[in-house]
Amino acid sequence: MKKIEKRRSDMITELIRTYSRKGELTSASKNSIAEKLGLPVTAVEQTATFYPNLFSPRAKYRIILCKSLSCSMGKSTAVYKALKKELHIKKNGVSSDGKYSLTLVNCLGLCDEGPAMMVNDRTYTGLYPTKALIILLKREINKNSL
Amino acid sequence: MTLMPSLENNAKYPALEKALTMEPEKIISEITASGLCGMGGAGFPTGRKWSVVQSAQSDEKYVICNAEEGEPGAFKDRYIVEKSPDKVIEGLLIATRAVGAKRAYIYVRREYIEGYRALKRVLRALQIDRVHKRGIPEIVLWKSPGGYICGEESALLESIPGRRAEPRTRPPYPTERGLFGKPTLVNNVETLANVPLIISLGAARFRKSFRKLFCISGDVKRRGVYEARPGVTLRKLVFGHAEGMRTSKEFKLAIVGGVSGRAYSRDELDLKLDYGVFGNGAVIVLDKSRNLRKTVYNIAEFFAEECCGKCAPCRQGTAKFEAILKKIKAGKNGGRDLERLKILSKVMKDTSLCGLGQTATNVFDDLTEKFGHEF
Repeated sequence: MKKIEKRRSDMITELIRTYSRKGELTSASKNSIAEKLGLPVTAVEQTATFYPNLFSPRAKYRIILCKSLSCSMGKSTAVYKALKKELHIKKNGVSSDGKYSLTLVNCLGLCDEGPAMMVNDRTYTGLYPTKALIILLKREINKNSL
Repeated sequence: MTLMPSLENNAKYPALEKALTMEPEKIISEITASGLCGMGGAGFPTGRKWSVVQSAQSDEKYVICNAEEGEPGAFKDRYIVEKSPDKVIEGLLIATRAVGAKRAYIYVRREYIEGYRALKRVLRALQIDRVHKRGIPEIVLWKSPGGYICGEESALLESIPGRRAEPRTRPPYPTERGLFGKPTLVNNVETLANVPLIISLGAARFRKSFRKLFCISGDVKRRGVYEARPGVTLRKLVFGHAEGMRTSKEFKLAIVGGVSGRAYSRDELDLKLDYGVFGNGAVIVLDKSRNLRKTVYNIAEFFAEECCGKCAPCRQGTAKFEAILKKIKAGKNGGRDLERLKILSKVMKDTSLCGLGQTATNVFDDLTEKFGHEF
């Protein structure tokens, strides 16, 4: 693999690493990634702006909820409304206490078990409003009781 | 901690063992004779694809397993990577031998966390088993940065070197100029998972016993992944395998091949889902209660969001579809706007750079034709 392609291949890893450390991608961090990889800063910008899901709002519980066709035929909209209300999600998709982020996403590949969501790395299926809320409550209780 | 199965005699990979004793040309002729076609949706003959990469003159070649399954309605690849990761890897290794690749990638969508872990476990065991000693290439497990378009072969190849996942103009095809400009074979998970069976059974027996994985979701009693012979009727899938409608509401239509596929009404239930028709095998069933304006809007919003933005017909076309179908969903009457959208659909089909733009309006076309009164 040519050197420059190898450097480019590290770009997404670098962006993700920076974002998870700092919670944001500032111009300064993009510049330093560009310098580290020996690439123009526009190359970093081009990539960073193309993959918004990689840089979604930071929160203790990152909730992504599917809104694609099969899930939308179930109660996904009702689940979304309930989560938005009960978790006090603001316009920027983050709860007022900063604990939860809620994003509608496209097909998660769980169409036979929808409506579906992921909370951090775990998937939850067969959702309806009460179930989704209980899931999040349980996550918080389990986390606190450890 | 679960114990890894013993790989002492490589007994776990009998097809790979057999393939290692076969000449690459022989492997490819078996794949060709088997009739295997791409299971990602496009259905390109697999043997032919392997043959092009094999005959390409290059010091470096790559094989990539495409596990970026993003088509709404499709979930078979998730099942395969989670439950049969060894089959995928075995197929991948056979492919690398057949085409002469030094490195293989498994490009997994970021959201398939369990599948990624399952593949990782198998790879770790493989390394422990020192398969490398036999000159078998390195396999890189790669997490996709995310997005429907990353499942498009050429966009996938752009994303690995950290670029925007924008499809390329073709020719040249990835088989000639792919990853890092080198000849690259990209195959879907299900395609590769069938390869060990072809080598073990031989092409003739495989042809007789091959089963396609169909993903059935929507208003049916039993949603799930089902095996069926190509040529199975829509009726058999919906009312046989999936046990019919979920409620007393009747069957209205089924969308076959995911939201980029085609829609079939009640009159077409006896349609045979064969090669060229089933696409990736996704089937979404809608009952009579479903509002088709909402359905086409949901799909239009999907494509507008997933469009990469590189080419004007798709970038502007999908945006227009989303905006106008939103108004129609809200109650505005179809009329002239609908006629304009039908023309726009043709333009997008003829001029879009990649499959996304070319198929984004398929379901819209079918539903406005077959259920025009609802618009």
